[in-house]
Amino acid sequence: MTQDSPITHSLTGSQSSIWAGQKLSPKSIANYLPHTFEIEGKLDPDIFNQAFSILLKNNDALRTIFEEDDKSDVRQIIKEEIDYKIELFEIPSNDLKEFIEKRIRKPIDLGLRPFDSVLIKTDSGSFIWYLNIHHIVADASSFKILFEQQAKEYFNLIDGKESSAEKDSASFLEYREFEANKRGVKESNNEDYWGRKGQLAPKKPKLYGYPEDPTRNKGRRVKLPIDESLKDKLDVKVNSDSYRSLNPDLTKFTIWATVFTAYISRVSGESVVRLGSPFPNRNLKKYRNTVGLLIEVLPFDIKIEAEDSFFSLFQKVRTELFDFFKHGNPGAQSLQSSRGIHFVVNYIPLHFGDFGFYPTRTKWHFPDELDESHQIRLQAYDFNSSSNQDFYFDINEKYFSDQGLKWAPQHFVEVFNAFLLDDNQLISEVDLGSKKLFKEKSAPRKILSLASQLSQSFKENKDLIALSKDGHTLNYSELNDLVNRLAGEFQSKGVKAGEVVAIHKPRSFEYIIAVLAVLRIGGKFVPIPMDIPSLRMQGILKDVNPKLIITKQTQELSGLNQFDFSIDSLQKLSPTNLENVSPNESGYILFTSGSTGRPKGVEIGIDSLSNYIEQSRSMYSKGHKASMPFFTSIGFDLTITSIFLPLVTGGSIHIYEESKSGPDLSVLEAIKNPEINTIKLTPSHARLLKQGAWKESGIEVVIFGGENLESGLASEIQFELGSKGKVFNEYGPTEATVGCIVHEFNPKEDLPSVLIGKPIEGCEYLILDGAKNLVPMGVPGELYLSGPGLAKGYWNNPKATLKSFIDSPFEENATIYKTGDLVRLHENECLEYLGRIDEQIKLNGVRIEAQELESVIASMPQIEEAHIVVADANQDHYETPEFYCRNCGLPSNYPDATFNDEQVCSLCESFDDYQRNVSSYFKSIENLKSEITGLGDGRNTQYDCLMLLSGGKDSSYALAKLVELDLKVLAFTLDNGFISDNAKANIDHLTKQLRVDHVYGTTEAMNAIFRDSIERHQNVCNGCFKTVYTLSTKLALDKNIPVIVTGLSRGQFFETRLTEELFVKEDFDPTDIDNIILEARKSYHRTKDAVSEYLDVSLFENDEVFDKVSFVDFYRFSDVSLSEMMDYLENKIGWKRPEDTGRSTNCIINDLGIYVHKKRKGYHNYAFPYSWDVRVGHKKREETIDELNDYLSQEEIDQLMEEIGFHEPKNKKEIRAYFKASSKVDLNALIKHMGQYLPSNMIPSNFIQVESFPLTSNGKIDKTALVKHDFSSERKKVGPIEKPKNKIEQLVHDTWVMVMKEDNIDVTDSFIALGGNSLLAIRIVSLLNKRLKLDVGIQNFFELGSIRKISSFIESEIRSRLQSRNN
Amino acid sequence: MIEEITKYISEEIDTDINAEEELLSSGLIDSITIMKVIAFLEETYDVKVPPQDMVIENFNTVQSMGDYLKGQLQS
Repeated sequence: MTQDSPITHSLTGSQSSIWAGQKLSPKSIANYLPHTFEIEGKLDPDIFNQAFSILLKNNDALRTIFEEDDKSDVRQIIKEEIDYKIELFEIPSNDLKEFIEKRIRKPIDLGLRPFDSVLIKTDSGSFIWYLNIHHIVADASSFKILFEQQAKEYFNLIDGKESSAEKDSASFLEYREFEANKRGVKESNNEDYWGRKGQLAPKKPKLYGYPEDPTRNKGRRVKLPIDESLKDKLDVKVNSDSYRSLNPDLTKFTIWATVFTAYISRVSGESVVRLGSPFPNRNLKKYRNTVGLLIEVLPFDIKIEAEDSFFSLFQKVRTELFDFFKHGNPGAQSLQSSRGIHFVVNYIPLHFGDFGFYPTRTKWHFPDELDESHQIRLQAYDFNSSSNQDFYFDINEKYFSDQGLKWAPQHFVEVFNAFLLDDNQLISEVDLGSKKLFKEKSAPRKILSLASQLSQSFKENKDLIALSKDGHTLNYSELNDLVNRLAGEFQSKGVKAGEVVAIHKPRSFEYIIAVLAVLRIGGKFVPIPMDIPSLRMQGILKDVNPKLIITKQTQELSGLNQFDFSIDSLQKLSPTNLENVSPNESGYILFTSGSTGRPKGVEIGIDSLSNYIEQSRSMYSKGHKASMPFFTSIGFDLTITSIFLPLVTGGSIHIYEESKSGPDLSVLEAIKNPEINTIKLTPSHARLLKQGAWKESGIEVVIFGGENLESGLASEIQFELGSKGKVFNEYGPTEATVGCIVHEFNPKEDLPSVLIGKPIEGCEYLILDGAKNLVPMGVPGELYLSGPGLAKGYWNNPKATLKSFIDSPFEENATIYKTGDLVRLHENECLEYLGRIDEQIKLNGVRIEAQELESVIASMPQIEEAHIVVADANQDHYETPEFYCRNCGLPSNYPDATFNDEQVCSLCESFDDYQRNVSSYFKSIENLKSEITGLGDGRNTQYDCLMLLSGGKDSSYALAKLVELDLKVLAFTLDNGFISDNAKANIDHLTKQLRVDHVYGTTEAMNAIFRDSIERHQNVCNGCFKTVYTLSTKLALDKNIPVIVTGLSRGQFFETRLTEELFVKEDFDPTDIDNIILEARKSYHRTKDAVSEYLDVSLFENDEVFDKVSFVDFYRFSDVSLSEMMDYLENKIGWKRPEDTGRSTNCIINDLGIYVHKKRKGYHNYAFPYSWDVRVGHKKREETIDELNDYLSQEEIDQLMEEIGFHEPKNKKEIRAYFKASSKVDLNALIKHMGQYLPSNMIPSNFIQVESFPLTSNGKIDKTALVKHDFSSERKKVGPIEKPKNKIEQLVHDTWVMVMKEDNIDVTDSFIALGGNSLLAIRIVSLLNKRLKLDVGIQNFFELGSIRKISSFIESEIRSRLQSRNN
Repeated sequence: MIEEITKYISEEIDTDINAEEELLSSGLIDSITIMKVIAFLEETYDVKVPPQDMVIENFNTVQSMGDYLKGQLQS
């Protein structure tokens, strides 16, 4: 034998997946398949060994080893022979288990051999054959095949017979070759089917809400507690008419997949579940007994809807599996198709027999490790043919808490049970231990009334300071006295218990006195903040119709009973004795800032308020006197705490009045007050404070409310406060009285946001899914609240009340409040807030938790704060230009336009350099006739040319001139349905007067073409032009007319076919340009769009048509100024400027194109061609500026949209990540950073760095203002993109970026998909040809499409050029 | 039709079969291969086999497949 390097082979898709996994964790034994065969019989170890040698000879899989070549590509090599002796061990039965466990951990060196095997002799004299093969060369069937071969060979040897290897069985190598061939063939689009699956991979689900813990990388196999009676019930189902299929195994497999899907969906909250399952690939007879890795794990997806029952889900699974089996094929598995498989159902219908006549028990051992990405594998098999399948969960501990590890098998069996019990049951209704989570209701507790709490405090703290403002103070007895006086005054004004008093006062002594006085007479107070818009205030007052409004007298509120007072005026009143009042009806009404429509007044009863104050006293003050700043809006229920907590504990309220103008920054003052020991604020307030502010303050208790609290912020504050300080996170909608769920922050909790914790006493909650079923532990659901804190409802709004305060589905006569908040329950019984349900974000179809994203963004070192906002993608991007180029009128908003200090655009500047070349491109009118007749060569005696007549000034003038030149002309007009009546009149008049034959062309597809053009080019002209060219070329061809004359203006040349680059060449030759334009015309007509779809474009398939019909641009030959032209048209021909289109255009639909273009692209689509018209002297700067600023009527635009059936995307949401950072953030670094924590489909594509975040008057982030704020200059689209790999790609990429004005182009993006057109292609190709001194044709460009493909084409061009030079 | 199906299955499993031969109950073809066969029948004869018809009686032999298909095509 020669010592040449051995023949090596590549790996199959499934082998590659396994190799990749093994490479990732070299010590992992996750891919070992250890089996034992307990053979009850006396074996001869030597003969057993001899038999095994025959197996090694007959099965190339066992002789396959793996090596990496110098490029670290892995190759497999089949060794001629492998010398292996099965070692014999005698092991006492007590040590057996340990021996096998240890043996399993023995590494298999794939460079040496892919298996490990020993023979064990037991106490009883029977034998155990241990065989462990690496998954990379074996599957479950391989073991059965080897086991049977071993038995056969062993007994043949015993009997002295010849080896009986099956000759018709193919080797593993033959299978792989077959697989490789199959892989190449796109049989029934298989590749696309599985590739697509990979692209659509759902995000990794979190079971029980548990975040992945990479430190727990261990697997465990749990036998599922499914007893005989359940298996019997299953068999009944399997054989029933609704379930049975081609065979029982198939039915069972479908059922297991159904139950597994249902389970995963329930405990993850996901509505799409992806399962992986092995596909056997052993249908061909010759591979049935091939030892090797033939199976491939392929995915299938099941979508679960709220109304799905087990049976309806079963039907879905059955249909999906049919597809799965239909498309399964050798070679289907790839790294792509393996994406997103986190759950595997492994149904193995294999039975191992006995070893000859020795009874044998076969066992597959679990190596205590799982594939990294697999969370659970459901195993169903029965190797020993006891017709009694066993079921196992192989669980990856990385994805489960200790509790979750216990729940998983239990809950799965509960789901299975529910299925057997009633398959019409809705899957969402199966209870998975949630009912147990909610404790029995405790008897209602007696609430200490607020009045008693206050009166006790007032009595005990008489001389202590109750209120303090700007150095003035009131003690408790003074306060009490003033409250009584005002209350008496209220009574004397006729205010009775239960009646409403509105308080429209700044933060002041008076405000607090008023609030207390209203409560004292049993009234309801309605705080109306000073900064409220007057219309909103009027709405509120109309709604509550107050008995009295306390405010500075004003005309605006005439008709209402107004009243004002000051401390001085109160002191002048004689003290009155209060009549007996019942406080039962008192309370307050707070108006929530409804984003749309009518604001809702939340009516809080006095018991709810009493309960909250009593609870907050015990939680936050614990016997201490709480001194708090009163610095937040009176209309915000967070402020309730700052008023009442000090008063009931004997502390003082430090009042900070609203600033008269600008943002309310009282928090900055409040924090400095050393008297303050307790503060309630929003996280946004806290972010306004400087580092160290907390440390220097006297604050010991911080209560957060109103917004989600990030752990980072809480940690910083906790750190500054030190161990004595307490940070509380209080959650509560206004409808449940200020706060009802509270958590004391614990820095050890490692979560992005601080938990909201446990309900306060008396408060109860439910977490329900969309169908109002309880969700399992850890699964996100909507929070519903009940208990004494619930509001009475919305004031004067029973409809809204009924919608949010609903009957409990679990308890009679109980009301629960629907919060609209998404939460999940943690195992420590604390709740985590996950955001608003109506702000649920879906990105690429994947549900995103905004807070998770925000915390990942904010974890980037420079970034201080991040907020995810869902914005309307239909936003107007138009910005009014700041100025116009002094020469050509190009507006400053034209993208990437640069201007010099004199406000002259770079186009004008560089134009000077090549103006000479441009003028040599243009010809004179004298040459026109000969050009046209020359091209025709006299082949048509009726017409010399076809003139494209739009009826506008340019084409009308051109037509007249052609006639003047004595050319025989057929005029053609496309009636696109929107030509103005004036323009039509012009056309009729003109053709009659000039005695020119004229035809109108039309197409029924015109509106579809307009719609396509708007989507593709953000204008209507492109689609219309292409229709004109297509129809006119066809007409010219039919009538054998050799030339089509266009009336394009010189500006339009530059818009549609000429580019700067064409002229900059030193050895400029106009014929080069003609050739390039011809090439561009070819690809233009062959590009797929609505025109190619709806019109007959077959005439453009051959180049012939381009020889038969030439294009001539009239204005290449005519250099006429606008005034000259207008004079000629109006005076000599009687052409009238259309007055029904509003501008010099003749087409009404044009306005819609301009509207869309301005809105989407941010500038006028005529800006560029007009600038050229000016530059080449065909238009005046002032005229273009006037036209660019024409007014577009929205009404007219709406009507046009209606007519062509174009609708702007409504409710098209876009996810934006706004962030604030200490320095400019490199977005690509940010994306990379995020990629470490999140799958790529969860990363938003819009990142906006802001200087600061706008706040609402309540001190929360003002998302509406954030979205409206014009950030377009800071805005940049990004996404995970493929970057250039080499110099040529980089060059091509940079050229694209420059020409396409797109910053982030993926090298695999298609030119057309990026909005490329032939003009852009010309620019790119000429630039590249110039830089690389090449001669790449534009046609190549369209065929190749992407940067990558074009680059490799260029590379081969260069290479072949070099070669030809060398030769 | 029978001939065509027999030919297809024989090629698919690389084994000669006849129209009467039991395919599923004998283990000659597995339930996955039969899915491919059904997909072939759907495409070739332009029928749709609803999941509830995917039972052994209809597909155990080429003959039974033929009978089933005739029934489907006539209805």
